[in-house]
Amino acid sequence: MKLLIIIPAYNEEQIIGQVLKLLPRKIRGINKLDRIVIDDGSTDKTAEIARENNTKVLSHMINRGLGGALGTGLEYARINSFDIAVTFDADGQHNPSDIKKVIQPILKNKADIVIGSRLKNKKGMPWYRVLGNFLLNIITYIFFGLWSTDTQSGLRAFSHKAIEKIQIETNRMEVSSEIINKIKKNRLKYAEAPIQTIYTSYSLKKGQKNSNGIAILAKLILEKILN
Amino acid sequence: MWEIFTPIRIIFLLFALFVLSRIWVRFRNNVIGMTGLISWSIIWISIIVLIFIPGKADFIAQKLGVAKGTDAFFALAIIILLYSVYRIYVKIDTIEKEITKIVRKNALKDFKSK
Repeated sequence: MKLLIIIPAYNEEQIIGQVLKLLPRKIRGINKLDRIVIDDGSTDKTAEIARENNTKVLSHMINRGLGGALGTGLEYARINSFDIAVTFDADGQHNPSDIKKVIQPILKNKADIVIGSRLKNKKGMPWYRVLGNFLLNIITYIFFGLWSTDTQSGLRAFSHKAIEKIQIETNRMEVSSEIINKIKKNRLKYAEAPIQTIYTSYSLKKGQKNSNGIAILAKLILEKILN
Repeated sequence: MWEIFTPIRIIFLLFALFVLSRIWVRFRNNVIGMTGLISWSIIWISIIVLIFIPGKADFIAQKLGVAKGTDAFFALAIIILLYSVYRIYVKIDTIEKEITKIVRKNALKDFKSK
């Protein structure tokens, strides 16, 4: 099984070196493990540092947003025939040992897409984030018919079938809604795995996933209307 | 006879004439073609004509069942504006997606054959 870890990054020079060093080099059930950083138009040394850490870098000439970066990562996975692709945040929010957790359902052929859910394990998450996420998840269910406890999570695993079928079209944070929509549209099997979030002041600043709640909501609505 | 030149009409007239001059300049500079020149000129000349026909908006308003000519005008203007905004939004969205396609293709070009 060939696995690709996709790390979308925008101006993460302060922490990306560390994140890359801590990524697993071996995973049970995987015989070829590769990683790639999608440098989304960073203006700092993100790409350089990634290369210094023996990691391939795909560079966007200008910033496109998370959706744009994920789309490029998945396209790379598709071109190079990877069996599994896992997206992983560059800001140190994710625990590397959760990677093997999210791929389990895929290895067992029970799912095509696995989202690492931070809400199954609420320890340490600020209350306003828990509430915000919950409301978004209800709306997601109403719009797309899929119940997910954490639609905004950046730790996602894609099976070969999902890599083939899901072509990311949105650019920014609304990619989370697009993925949910496409799971249903392509009748892919969905599973979740509990993951840990590491909340440092750095990662809280960077992951404004809730302060943009209104924007995400608007984009959920738009995804529903336009697709 | 000069009563038809109320202040608001003079303002609209001057503005319309300004726009017509801009249309002409654009045509001269090859920014818009002959079709552009003709169609936009017709639109703005019609606006000038309409500005000066007394009471025509009230007539249309009566037909449409709206209170006054100005109300009909505003209602129509708002609808047209809303639709234009929607079209602009869709266009921008399309452009953003196309930009991403270019940027992605460029990013992947060194990695086509691993």
